[in-house]
Amino acid sequence: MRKHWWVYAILSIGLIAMLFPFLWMVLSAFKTNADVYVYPPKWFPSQWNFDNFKRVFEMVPFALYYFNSLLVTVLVTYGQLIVSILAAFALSRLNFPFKNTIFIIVVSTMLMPFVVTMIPVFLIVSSFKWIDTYQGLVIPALFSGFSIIFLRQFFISIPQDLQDAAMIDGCGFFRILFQVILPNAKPAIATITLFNFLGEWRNYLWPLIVTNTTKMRTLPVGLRYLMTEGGGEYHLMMAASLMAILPVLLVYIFSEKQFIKSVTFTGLKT
Amino acid sequence: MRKLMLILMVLLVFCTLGLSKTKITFWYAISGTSGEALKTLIDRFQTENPTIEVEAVYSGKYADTAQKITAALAANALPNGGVIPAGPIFTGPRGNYAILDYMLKDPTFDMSDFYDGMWDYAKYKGKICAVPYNISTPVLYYNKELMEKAGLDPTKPPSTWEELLDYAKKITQDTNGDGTPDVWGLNMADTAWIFKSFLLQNENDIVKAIPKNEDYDIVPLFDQASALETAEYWKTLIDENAMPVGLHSLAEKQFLGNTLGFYLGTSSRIGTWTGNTAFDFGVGFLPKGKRLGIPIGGAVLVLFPASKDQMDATYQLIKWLTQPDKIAEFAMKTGYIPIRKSSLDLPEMKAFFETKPFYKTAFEQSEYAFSYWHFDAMGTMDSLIVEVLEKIERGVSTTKEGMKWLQETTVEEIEASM
Repeated sequence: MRKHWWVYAILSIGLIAMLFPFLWMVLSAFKTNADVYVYPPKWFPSQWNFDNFKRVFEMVPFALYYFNSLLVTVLVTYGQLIVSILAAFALSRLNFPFKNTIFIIVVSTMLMPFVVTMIPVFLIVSSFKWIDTYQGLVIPALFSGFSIIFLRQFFISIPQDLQDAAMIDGCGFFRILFQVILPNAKPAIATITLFNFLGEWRNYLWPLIVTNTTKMRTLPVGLRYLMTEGGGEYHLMMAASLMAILPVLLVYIFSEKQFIKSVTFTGLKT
Repeated sequence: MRKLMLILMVLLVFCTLGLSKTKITFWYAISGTSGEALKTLIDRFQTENPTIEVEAVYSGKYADTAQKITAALAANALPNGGVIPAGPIFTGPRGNYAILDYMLKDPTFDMSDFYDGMWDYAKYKGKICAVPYNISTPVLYYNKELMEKAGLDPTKPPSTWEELLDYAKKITQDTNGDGTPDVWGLNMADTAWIFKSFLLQNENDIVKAIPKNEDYDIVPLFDQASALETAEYWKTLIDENAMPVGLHSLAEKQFLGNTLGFYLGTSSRIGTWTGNTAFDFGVGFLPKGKRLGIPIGGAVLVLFPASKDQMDATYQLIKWLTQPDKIAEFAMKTGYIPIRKSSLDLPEMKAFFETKPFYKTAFEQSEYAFSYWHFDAMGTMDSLIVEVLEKIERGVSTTKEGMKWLQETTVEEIEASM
């Protein structure tokens, strides 16, 4: 402990840098607008104010947005996970024609920013009459080049011998996938679940473009509505953000161990 | 018996007519408390017009709404209307001037009651294709405490360019003696907007439209002697330490932090700042050059093509929203400026000014509002202005070189966007 005091010193700086904005959000959620703007800044609200939460519910149908966000995020997270696992398994463990070409195409989708593909995707979704539906929100998000490549790299690192042994014992591809590959890839799967969950939970642009009615809207769109064009009501924004962040915290707490394991495995982080 | 049947049938027809509602969708890019103000108005419109059902949906901030509309245009999934930033870009170029036809055919729609500068803001190629709605202008915010410290009269904010330079110079202070000032006289967040105000104040319009084979060429006016003068005034503000080089993104924080004398920026801050600052501040007209000149910004009401019933209903909503008393109510709740002259004469507006005198200043500026027709490269032009000001401030280019570059590049961008 004493030998490494400087490690802890550096880590503490990181900790403060990370905690500061979070703490500021939590405390500002209870402030009045005047308190948020006061200079020099004050940490604690001059009086604890719970009205902000009430105001948020008055201004946007928060419960409905919450439900939509949860539903869409869960469907996208698990849907994408299933698609990605199957694709990654094929690309890492099976041999078939044009495998490399397909792999290169998958990689190249990662180079394309979303705004470039947004309008074509919107046109496709529109031709299926999926605008303003859950299908429109979920299905275009099921394919993710990143998830596939991330899992493929992990699957490749699992020794071929395990697969060979399973094959000698008479396993088919599905049993190899479910009983050999997946149990060994738990950290990677936990990580990708977390990535997907976080990414979809805060996804703003696509839900905004593809939904046209209040009943289909998700939380990030609702959060944006609390701000005026020129900035403004941070106290409401913070109260809403505090409520919006809870599921993410829960998911993180539950998958934290696996997540850390996987980061140390792969050297990747968000 | 037959008579009874007839009466019953007539009644039935009336009932179905009464029940059949016209459903319209209406997107708006206004959020927060301003969005709430609009929502309340639309709700009231619905109670007054039970045959129309409005599905009013927030469409994201300005830039996102533009993307949403672009996608909807491509997929033919447009709403019936909305409060849309850069609205004329989405109607005029597609030959959609329907809103103008409606207004011209409607003898009860008084277009002359709108301020002169407003209609230009709703035009594409010289023809109206939208109705101005949530419009804001820049105003002068002055910190009374800092003015007093600099030996200035806090009841007399600068009203001319000379005074602005002079007062701002006096306010700039290096309090900790490290060689760089930490209290500044003047700053603004949106340099392009304020530079355009200065141009207008120097009797230099921003762009001009030259008729050409039943079409128009949009030509920027940055190559005029008066534009160069404006750029030189900007440079003087920098050279004489009235305004910091760069640092414009910090302007609001500087003002709220009691380290900035004069802030030039949108009138919409009046509501958020009043009563929330640690010092006393005032609101005034932008100082005048050769004349008063205020460029306007904001979003407009648009009408998209649909069935006749839906277009009629959407027009009805647009007309209702722009009635003088509704405009007054929206302005009082949001701080956007009233677009109609008669809104200012309403008793509720007069009473409002008694309690909130700052708004009076902002609202009375409407008379000096200028604008230009929408054109496709207008956003690019603004970013070029920001770029050239930065170059001039840092001494990378002289004012002359800078304005020449600005003129030439803007011409190129406009041609490329045609």
